[in-house]
Amino acid sequence: MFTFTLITGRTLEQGRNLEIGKFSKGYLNSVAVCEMAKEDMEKLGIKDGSNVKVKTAYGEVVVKAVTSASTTPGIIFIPMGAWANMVVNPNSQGSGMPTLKGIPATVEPTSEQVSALEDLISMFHKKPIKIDFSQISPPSSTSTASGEYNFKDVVCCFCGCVCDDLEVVVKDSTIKSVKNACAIGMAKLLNYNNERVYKPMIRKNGKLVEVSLEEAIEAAANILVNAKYPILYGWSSTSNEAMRLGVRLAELVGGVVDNTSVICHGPTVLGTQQVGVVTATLGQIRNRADLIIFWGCNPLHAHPRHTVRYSAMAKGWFIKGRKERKIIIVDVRPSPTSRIADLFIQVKPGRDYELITALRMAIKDHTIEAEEVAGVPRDKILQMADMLRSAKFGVLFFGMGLTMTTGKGRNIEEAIKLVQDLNEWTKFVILPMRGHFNVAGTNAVMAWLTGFPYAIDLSLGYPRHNPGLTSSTDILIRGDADAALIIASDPASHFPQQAIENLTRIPVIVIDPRWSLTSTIADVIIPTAFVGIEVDGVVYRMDGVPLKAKSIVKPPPGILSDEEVLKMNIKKVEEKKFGG
Amino acid sequence: MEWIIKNGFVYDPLNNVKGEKMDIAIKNGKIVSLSQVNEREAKVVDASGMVVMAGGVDIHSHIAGPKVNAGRIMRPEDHYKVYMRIMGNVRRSGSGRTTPSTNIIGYKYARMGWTTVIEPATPPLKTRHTHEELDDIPIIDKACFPLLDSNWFILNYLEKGEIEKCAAFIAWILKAIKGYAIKLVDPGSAEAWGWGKGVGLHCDEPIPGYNLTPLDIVKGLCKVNQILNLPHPIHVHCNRLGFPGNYTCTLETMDSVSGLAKNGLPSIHITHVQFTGYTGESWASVGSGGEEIAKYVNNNKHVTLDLGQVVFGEATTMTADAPFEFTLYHLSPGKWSNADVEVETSAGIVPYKYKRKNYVNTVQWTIGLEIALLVKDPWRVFMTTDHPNAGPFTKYPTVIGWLVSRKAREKTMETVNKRGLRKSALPTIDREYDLYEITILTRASPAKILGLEKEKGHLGVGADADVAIYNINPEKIDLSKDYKELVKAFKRAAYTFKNGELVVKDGEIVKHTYGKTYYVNCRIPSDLEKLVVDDVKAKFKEWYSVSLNNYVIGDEEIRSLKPLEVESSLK
Amino acid sequence: MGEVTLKPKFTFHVPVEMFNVSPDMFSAKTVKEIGELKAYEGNREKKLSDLFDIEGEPGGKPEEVTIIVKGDISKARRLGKGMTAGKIVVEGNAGHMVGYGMRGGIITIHGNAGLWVGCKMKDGVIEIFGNAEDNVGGSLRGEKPGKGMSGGVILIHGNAGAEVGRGMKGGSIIVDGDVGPLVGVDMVGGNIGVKGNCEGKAGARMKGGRIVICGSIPEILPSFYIEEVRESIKVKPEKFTGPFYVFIGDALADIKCNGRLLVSINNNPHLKPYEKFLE
Repeated sequence: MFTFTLITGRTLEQGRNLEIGKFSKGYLNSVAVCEMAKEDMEKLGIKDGSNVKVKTAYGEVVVKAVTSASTTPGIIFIPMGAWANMVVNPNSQGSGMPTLKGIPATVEPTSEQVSALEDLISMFHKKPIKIDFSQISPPSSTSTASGEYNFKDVVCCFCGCVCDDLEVVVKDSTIKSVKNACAIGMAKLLNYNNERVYKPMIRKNGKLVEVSLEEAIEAAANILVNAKYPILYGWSSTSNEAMRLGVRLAELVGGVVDNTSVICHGPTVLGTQQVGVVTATLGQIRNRADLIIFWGCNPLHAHPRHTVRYSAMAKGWFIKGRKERKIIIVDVRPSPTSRIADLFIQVKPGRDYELITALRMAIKDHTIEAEEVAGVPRDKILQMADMLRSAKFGVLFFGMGLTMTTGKGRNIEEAIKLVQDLNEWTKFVILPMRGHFNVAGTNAVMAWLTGFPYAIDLSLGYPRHNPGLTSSTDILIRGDADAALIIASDPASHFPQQAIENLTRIPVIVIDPRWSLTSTIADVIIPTAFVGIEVDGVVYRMDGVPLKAKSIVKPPPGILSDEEVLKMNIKKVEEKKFGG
Repeated sequence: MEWIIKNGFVYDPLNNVKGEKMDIAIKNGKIVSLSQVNEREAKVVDASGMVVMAGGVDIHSHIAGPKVNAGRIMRPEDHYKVYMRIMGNVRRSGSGRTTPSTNIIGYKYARMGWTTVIEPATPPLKTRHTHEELDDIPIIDKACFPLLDSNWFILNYLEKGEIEKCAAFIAWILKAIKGYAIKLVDPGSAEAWGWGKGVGLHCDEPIPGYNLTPLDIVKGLCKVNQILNLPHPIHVHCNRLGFPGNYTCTLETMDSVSGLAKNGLPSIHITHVQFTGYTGESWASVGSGGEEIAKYVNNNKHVTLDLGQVVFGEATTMTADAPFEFTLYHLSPGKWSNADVEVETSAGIVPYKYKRKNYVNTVQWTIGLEIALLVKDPWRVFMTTDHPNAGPFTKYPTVIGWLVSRKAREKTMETVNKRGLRKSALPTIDREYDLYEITILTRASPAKILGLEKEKGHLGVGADADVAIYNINPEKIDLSKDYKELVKAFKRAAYTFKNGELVVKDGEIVKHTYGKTYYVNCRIPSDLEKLVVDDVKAKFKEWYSVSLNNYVIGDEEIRSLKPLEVESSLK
Repeated sequence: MGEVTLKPKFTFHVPVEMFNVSPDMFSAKTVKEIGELKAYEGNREKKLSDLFDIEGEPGGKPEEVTIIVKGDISKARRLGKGMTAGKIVVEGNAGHMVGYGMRGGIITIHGNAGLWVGCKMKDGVIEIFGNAEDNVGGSLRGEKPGKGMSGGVILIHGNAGAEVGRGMKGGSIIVDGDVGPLVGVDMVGGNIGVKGNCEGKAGARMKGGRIVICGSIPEILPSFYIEEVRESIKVKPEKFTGPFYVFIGDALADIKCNGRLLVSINNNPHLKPYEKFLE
């Protein structure tokens, strides 16, 4: 019955428009879409730009069909976001990571309209607030720092590349221009005030009412202290300093603390837990690597400066540029990045594990009985294995193509084992393409404070970790939590719909500078400042290199940092638990 | 807050106090003379029948930084059974046996009466991470040693013979990343490992791409250390760690700088010498090189060393000696992690278990003790387990038990591999440390070799009020026979003071505090500094993937920073 | 006689730790004493009597105790932890980590069970009439192969999820329905019998033991080699009738290939090309 395989993921436009504003028309137009191959559209009589209904065993959603060369007959692609999440498979195979790629789907033309963002979750228990952005204006400050400042070596706070060579011109407290950033980094720096929250709010009788910060903190503390199993989720878009306080807060209230890696590179941690990981910093790779594999990732869209700054095109000390490197791309479809490949391998969706195993067999010169593995002819596998063995320094970059597909952590485990095997022949390392700019840092903080890097259950007074059980995705999908603190992330946009449904059943606190889909169903909203723009904060790049992002403009009056708000929360909770 | 510790048996080797009954007074975080405190208002600890010494000083323990954290992440199973619960508003939670989380590290050190711990190996590019972790370890004071032996700037200066520029660079980098001493690990091997080479690098083998051998690096950095007048000698993890027959490498390394000692101060510190103290041609014939090494140390005053004593049970090996970890991964198949750091260094992690019945592990176990018992000068030997490489630091009391009691050693020797025992002189050694010598080994001499003897490692006036009180009566106990009581007393101190605050009582944490981070601020002539910074600026963009401005760590980034001001000899 | 009934006092919303609910913990206790046993409702420390109405009279020894849970305890964790004898019956869904580290006795679940059924089980019997989720009989994360189930029998009448028998060392798991991917991953011994289909990646990293799949599987891992054809195979306590292709592997985990993966011939026509490697 199902004729297509659905994959979801990042695109450049999705990232750019996310920064311009989630509630904007641009965002809807770039995310509520379904990319299809021309042949498939012709077969089904679907016109380019017309609406279609995508159905899976888990739900249905109306999106706009667009022709794309970055897909292949049989595969459809919907950018990550709330529309995609109406149809993804919530089953995490006990890993914490829902199955967001490789879902059987059908597509049919429809005359129904594409839902607005907040309407997608309007059928659950709490009605999302409709935000009238025309009514929101920034408060006038009593003092505006005047003058023009030229900031150099600015640390970009969008993706895991954490480029630290940005140049930003600030005039009269406003960012006027940005140099060296990619389109998404630039979009963030020039649009960060869009859809901004300026005042704390509490939901009263189905409406969000402005309150003082003290009242909001009191309400938040009450929710947390009264909860028997709260989750404290997000963290990846704030600083290490905030994360350290978050762990303390979770410990005090006996909850589960978790970051967005649960839905990103959590499976990479699972693989590392079984076999370790062999890696290097990006400069080591840029300087020495003459063979680069991109597996299940699309850096030209998700990490736009990666190939220029750190990998394929970058100028290194020993390896001077693209000409001295071989690029292999493995993907289920000809992704936008695949055009830079010397060798493109199209793998059958859900069979990356099998392909990696075949490569490991080929590396060791073991016979492979099958003539085709994972849809790839055996000869091609042997050819690729030879390229890997004869590299002087190889690197395997990988992304959601391995973490989200069936097999989850075992896919990465097998990839790490491939790299470990290759070290018998030559120098080889592996590096995950981390999504958010501080997902790596917040994982590190949780690991040193509790012993585990994410999905930590502190309900019994000491750290316990078991993704599947303690992962916030599964907790919400099962409806185990009775309260949620969401900070620096937007799970309503990125979790499967069953999780969002359960989120609308419980009290939700949102700490975020901007309006998000999660804020529309929040009970307490506390606005904060942007790390790396308005406040300082330590963040870790995808390879663990720690950088200090610095403030270049002041936050709006009355807006504090995540750190300060968390400190207030902790103080309030301590008062309630231990007395004044 | 003022305290008087009354009537305890005080052991203070730096001030020549050998167990006399004395009162110790504390005021404003420091040890003061009794006349300085108000005896009626001061709080009193009755230390009658108990031993009082300065808080322990650990000069080599992997407690913080990217590889320590990577060890935690890859070993969830190390955290399931060993954990600590949150206790009210006093104590925080954590987990981990060989890769403990930060709160557990601080609490468990303090519970044993240790108050200063050094993280001995941090990669400069990621040292901001090391400081963040150190800042989250409660109670103890700390410092970290940057890994410098495979740094491109340094290798280039050494190759060209530009010792003064090299010294200026090292002064700059110590300040830039808030480091304390020069650390070398399998010198030069990390650069070779950048191409997958460097396994078993010999002391006199040139490093790929450079006209330098590991011993050239050792000698060059030793000279730099002298020029800069740094408080601690070069801290060296010798080449060929883990290879049978490697004790010769240790001897060669020690000997390479024998002429460089200045002012009677040691010119080199060899760390976890057990791991580089093997005789034999293969694992089948490996034996203890302890006697040879001890002999050299007895005849040469320019060397200090720490043991890296093996304790049977679970361990996690983690070291900047990445090529060695690759070897260990093959010897002991299981998990293996590696993390190269551009321009600078690398690291490897392999979980490991020391088994009593295992021939090699038994030989390894004998070496540390053998050396400690054969070296005559207790001021040049320090007790460590290279935590968590040879065993977790929580086993220090067990090691102390072996040092003070031949009976304790015999009891363990009954359970180990007999053939392994025959490869060591340990079964023939009768010597037993006394409490005074243990105090030297675990407090006085580490403080001195770190150059911190003004405020650490002693209980004289002016010292930091870091005090450990153990429930053991030296007049009533025969250490040799009743070592178990000593071990028990050291496992849970009766009282621990940190900076004059009571943090441990009856072996339990009663206060959660934070200590300070030491680093060395070495003053060099400004024109030389400018020259070197220009060198750095010129090459930084080509070599590194971050900007120089973002590489430097600001003072405000660390919770409580304390510089040790040092004047170099540079003109 | 010997029967104790537990009825949830209210619908549980948050996880409920039930590691004290076992014949060993209940034996030789009065109902009142049983009620005093510690449990957790999320982060709140509770007594069993706060959460359940308890009736009945346990026997003096664990083997004389039968615990019947009347109602849905899908929020339960670690029911029957470490039990050595006796019975537990759940007339509903049973939650996660049922029978953790069990050493004997019988657990019967009439509804569904969640993750890690029979985690690190040493002996005993667990029977699930509904479905089980992932990691049946499994080891915990980070543990080396062989730290999973080492003895006993797990019977699942419905479907099971991913990584059935992960890290298994001994004992038997039989699934009447389908299983997810990675059945038998990290296995060093023991038997797994699947009457339905397998999503794929069967036997990944196995060093020993036996997996039987009577339904279909889309692809065999390339680290397996076909060895022979077999008519039937016994997976205690049942017998499976083939015919089966017998693959040996996982060559990458152990070149000796002591693991056995049996796959139905009739239900996997796409595997026919392997026959050319049979003599």
